[in-house]
Amino acid sequence: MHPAEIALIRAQWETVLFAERPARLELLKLQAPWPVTPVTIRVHRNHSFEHVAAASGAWFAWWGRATGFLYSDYDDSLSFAFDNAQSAQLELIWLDLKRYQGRFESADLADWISGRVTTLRARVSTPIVLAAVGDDETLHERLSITVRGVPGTHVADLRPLAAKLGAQFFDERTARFSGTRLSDAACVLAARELACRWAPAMLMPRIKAVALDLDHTLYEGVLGEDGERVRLTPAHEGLQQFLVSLRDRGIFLALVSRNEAEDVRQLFARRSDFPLKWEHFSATAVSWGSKADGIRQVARTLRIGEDAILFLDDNPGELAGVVAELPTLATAHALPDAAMTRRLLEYHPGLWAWERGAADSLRATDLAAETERARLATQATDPQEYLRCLQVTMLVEVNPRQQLARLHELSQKTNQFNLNLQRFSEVTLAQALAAPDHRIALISLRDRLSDSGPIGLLVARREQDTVAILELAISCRALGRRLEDLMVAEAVRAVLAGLPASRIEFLHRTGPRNKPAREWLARLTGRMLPAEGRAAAQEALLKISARDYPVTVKITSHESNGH
Amino acid sequence: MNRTDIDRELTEICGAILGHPVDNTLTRAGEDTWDSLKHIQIIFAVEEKFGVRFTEEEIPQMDSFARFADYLEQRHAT
Repeated sequence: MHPAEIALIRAQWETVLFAERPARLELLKLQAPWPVTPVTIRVHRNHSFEHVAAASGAWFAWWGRATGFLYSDYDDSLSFAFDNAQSAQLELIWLDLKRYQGRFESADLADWISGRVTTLRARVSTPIVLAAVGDDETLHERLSITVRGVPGTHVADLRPLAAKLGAQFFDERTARFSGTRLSDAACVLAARELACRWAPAMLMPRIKAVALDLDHTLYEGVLGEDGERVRLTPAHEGLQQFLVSLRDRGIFLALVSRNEAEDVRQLFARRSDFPLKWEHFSATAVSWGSKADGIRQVARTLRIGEDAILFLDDNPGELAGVVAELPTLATAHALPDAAMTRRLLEYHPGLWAWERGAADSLRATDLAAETERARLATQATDPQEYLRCLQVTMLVEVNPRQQLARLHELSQKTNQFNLNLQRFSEVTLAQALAAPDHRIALISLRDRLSDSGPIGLLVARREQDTVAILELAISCRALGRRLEDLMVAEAVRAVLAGLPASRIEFLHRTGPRNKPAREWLARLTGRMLPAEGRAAAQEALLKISARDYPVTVKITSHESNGH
Repeated sequence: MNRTDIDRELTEICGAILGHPVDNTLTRAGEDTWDSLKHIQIIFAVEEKFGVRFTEEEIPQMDSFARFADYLEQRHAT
């Protein structure tokens, strides 16, 4: 099926999928004619999940997935009596906490559940989601802390759904027949949470940017006809506020519009009632050219792939035209009801995240500082002067266990400067942090223009007298400052302190977009690289010295735990 | 809503949930795919579509297309 046809059908589905209260029957009528990738979810439960699963198909299809569910028996004891030979991509623990009432104190129950989750973690390395129903706030708070401490595990919070549905969250009348106290409405909304938020947040790379059309998307009206009198309805105001919150959570905003660039700048300058400001856009492509070209320009400016962008436009034909040229681009149709468009973004797979990382809020300001860095680079007479002027501080942390989520994010999201594309799971990284023959270095950068935060990851393993660099990933935000050599050399030195060896080998392989990393390694070693393999680099790395860089380097180690 | 409209809506609901076309002769006893899980999903969908609410006693009694249709016809007539 042609991507343009898919984009048009997806646009037609939106009013059903993103209704405030989606109707089960309308959901069942939606059958995807496009190819979908199978995903298996294993459900460990003490109450029925089938009514959630039955409603989830259309949302999974929207995401391009077809889900199969493997069910445990109803098991309050969480004995995890399943066959490991049946593999799953996600483990879901689905509990009604009322069934434990009177048998445990809140704290004891939280600790017991956390212990059971740890037992499951020892059996599988796939992501785990715990979704528990119950009205004991203390228990939920404690669970969110204790269970989150288990690597690769998240606690899904159903309390917002309970608050939204009020008395309609439970339906005791049907519990005897359905196997759950949850009402039909609660099951349908939980299905949307699973398919649009929990599973994508565990199983797909996060979308990095939302590219926005202007007219009839961010407001009602047409700038070219209505001028600055375009209408900001309350729903459009809510949509704009949500977009600003996305930016605060590390998602870049971009503007892709067919308009006069000066008119658009004036609109944002004069409409002080717009929550969205011109400076919130990290990239703009406002011209009479094609929107596909605009998206390409945005991707270049943001240094990301087009497949990491979601394009929102009110014109389905425009969406179809753009994906015809850029088939990996995610698209969404901005609806006349901006409240529904906001809900679409709230639930679009890949936009929602379990938690807000410390690095998220740094991303947009750091990219904005890049323009100034580029100006300084052209003005500086030599690289030393450029770096001196920036006043760079580099921090290398060895085994920073408290940064597990950021280590995972760097491994998953870095595409261009990623040497071996291992895409380590949180569980694998946690195991590496605990293993005496492994070290992980996290590199952070700060200069006088911005704090880039943690931007580089190096995972090393000792193999006799060799340290193998299993993964090297540096965020594209940190590239181009002429610091790649020093970052890697200092990270390697830091891990060598705990893993003494005389030989250093980088594992590498060719991916769709990691040419910058491969070119860097080829230059460092002075050799052409095969498609994949290992490249020795100890001599070249030893020549790189922090003394040759006007940069402050700090190294800290968190190796006291475990080894 | 007359009986024809009710039958048409019920045909759509039962067909969508059971996963194949059905007619007004459908019964739970004669339909393998109409298990307890599908039963409650049909109940939910009928409640949603027709704006009715079955009592706990009525839920297991709705064991055929005709029983649903009779119930709904009676509700819409009163």
